[in-house]
Amino acid sequence: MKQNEIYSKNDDVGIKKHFINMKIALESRCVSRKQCFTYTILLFILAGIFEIGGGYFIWIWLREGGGLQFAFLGAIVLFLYGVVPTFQPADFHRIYATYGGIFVVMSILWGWVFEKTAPDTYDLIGALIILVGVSIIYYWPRKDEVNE
Amino acid sequence: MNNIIISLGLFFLAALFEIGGGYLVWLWLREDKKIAFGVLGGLTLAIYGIIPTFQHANFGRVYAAYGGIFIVSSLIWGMLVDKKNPDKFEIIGAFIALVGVFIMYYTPR
Repeated sequence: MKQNEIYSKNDDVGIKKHFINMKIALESRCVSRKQCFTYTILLFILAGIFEIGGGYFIWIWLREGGGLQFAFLGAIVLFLYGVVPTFQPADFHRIYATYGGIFVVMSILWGWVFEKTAPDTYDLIGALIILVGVSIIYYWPRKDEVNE
Repeated sequence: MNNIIISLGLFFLAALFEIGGGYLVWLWLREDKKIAFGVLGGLTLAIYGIIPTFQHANFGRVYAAYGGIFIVSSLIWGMLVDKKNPDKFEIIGAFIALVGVFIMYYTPR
């Protein structure tokens, strides 16, 4: 990935160096479009787990009367959520738009598992259409891409 | 009607904080900015986590609707902040996604 060039003039923050090494190690596995697909899907799902999980901790703190430790936990998990998309090989807005679609599906699953509200036919049809839409946003081959 | 306006306002506010926070973390790690951006991003994301607790409706479907608003907000953010206009496939995809959100959220049951 050519983003690595950006890191040449990094400030020497330890966490950041660690992050860059991790990112290079991960991206070296993303060598073909097919492998890249698996890699990016897994990153989207990981982001969803962190975001919904982090939000859920804060929800427990404010709505369910949980202790302040839930607030700290939620804040840390949400921060980790913010880090995950930076491993994606695309522009910021395209990653986030696509992530919105994954988030829809994961929200429905979350409600199903934790709140026992099963999706109805229209939820499922809608979710499927949304997935088609975000797949076009993210995975449609563009001419200017180096990502073969 | 008031409820719809309030809930839509909260959705867009949440999207602003979430995308803004994520963007600050992105600036830190991808655009070679100082760690202060990362810290600020973390704080913004924590504030984002508080906003949905003001919504009073059932979790799954409300969050799903938020996802649709989030898709559009992300593309608008790219236009305004990164000066990157959405390409043809992003616009087509976003429209298809919005159709899905409307079916999910506004089909009379």
